[in-house]
Amino acid sequence: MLKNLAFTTLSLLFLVSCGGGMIGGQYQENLKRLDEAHGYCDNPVRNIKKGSLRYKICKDKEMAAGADGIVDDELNLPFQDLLNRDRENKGTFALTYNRFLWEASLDAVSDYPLRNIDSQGGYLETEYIYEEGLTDKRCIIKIKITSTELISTGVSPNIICQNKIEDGWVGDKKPYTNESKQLTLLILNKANQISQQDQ
Amino acid sequence: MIKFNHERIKKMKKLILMVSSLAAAVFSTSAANADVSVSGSYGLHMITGGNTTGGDTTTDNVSTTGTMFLQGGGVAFSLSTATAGGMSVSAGAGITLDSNDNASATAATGLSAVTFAADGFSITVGEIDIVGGDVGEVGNVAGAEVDEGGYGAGAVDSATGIANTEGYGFNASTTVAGATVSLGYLMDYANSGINNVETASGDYASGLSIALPVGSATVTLATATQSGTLDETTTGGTISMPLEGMTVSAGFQSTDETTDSTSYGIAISGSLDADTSWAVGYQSGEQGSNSSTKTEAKLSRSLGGGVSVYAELQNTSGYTSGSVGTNIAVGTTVSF
Repeated sequence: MLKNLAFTTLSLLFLVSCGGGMIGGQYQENLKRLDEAHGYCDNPVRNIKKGSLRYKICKDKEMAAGADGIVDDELNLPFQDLLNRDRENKGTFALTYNRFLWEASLDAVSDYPLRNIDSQGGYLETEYIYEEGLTDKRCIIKIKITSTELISTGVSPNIICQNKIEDGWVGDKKPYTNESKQLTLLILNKANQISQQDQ
Repeated sequence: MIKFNHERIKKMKKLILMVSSLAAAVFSTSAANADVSVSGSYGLHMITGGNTTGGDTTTDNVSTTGTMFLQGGGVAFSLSTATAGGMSVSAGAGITLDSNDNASATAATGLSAVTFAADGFSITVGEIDIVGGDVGEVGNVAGAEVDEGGYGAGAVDSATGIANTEGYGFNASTTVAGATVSLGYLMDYANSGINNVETASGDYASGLSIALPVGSATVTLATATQSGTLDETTTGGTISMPLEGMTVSAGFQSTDETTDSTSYGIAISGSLDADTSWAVGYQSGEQGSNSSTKTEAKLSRSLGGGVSVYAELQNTSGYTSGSVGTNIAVGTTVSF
């Protein structure tokens, strides 16, 4: 049994070192996904031994960071903003998404009119955007905030374009992967700036 | 009609080039070269229940329904380095006074495991928890402090997979066709030392876990088995998915042992705002003719500056060798 497991492990590590996408690909992405599913400290793949000092400190850090994952510099009285909500924050509701990512997304598409804004669900969508002198193509940007934390996977933009064929508009079926990535980076950078200014 | 602004797009591209490296620096998780970092935390807790398990242990006072005050903390040293090829090597050590159990002395811990990791894999060698040993136990959302209240959970706490999950061995993980595959092997789960092992111990355990994305959900299937002094095998799975801003998890576990046991649980967690988190969990266990349930709820609030406060409730019902009831813990923890 021991020999079989050791052989299997060494074989896997060898395949990983060969750089094959089949083995080892998306490992970091999967780690982050498992962090979201189990929590960073309880992610079984991270091998943080339950009951250990490392585990306790990890859990305490997690609580100190709160739902958004950011440790505020300033100490506030317990629950004062909840208790004083009616007096100080009339109309405030619990956000199900990260507000820095939301504000950064609004800023990123500020030059375009918006067709759909769901401020409770963290979703926005522009009107169709047209290029001057290019009357047979139009695009739309959709952005969904998917996390309460300021993390790189917390925003999901989607760019959809259509071509005009005869009198109808037809999707061009292009993924616009690079453009979406660039938009993601722009939003993340802006969100980071806003969060730093907010502290 | 809405137009693209070419000048803005050019500026945007320049900005994107600039922020790409900045964002990589901000969100990168790669290990720094040859780094020794120090972190710590401290906790102060107040616990009530049926028979708090600490404090005065003299015969006349051992059964108490009083309120328990408990505090402790730890300092952790994290040691890490990275090779030119991008592989990180890390280990850790620490000094601690147990913050969630009755303790009479501080202790030095750690240095008993080392982890080698790269972009596509990780392997930990030394004192470990075996992969798959606690699969399916999703309902335990509260911390360990509330357990000190003294009310027991009986079958829930005994239906927890194979009996021996800790020992000297290795856990390794990588991805295969998009799924995260982890396997582990304990060369001696009954070892008396934590820095060595003898391969002919006869007390072995092995585990295998496969986690894969299914739509927006993450599904984990795992099994662990031990042989030697006791022959036991546990098999189970969990599914976790985001739902309406919350995270919902469900798990199941079945163990083939002297008296077979099964356990299932469900947990829901979410946030009230950027600093306030909550979680509710339910775990049911059955072993032989005995069965019991445990319901836990937790509310925690980050106050800033590394300080947080929490309240936890744990209610047990069904069979237990002690008594069932409600344990409550409130307290504060500080992260340094």
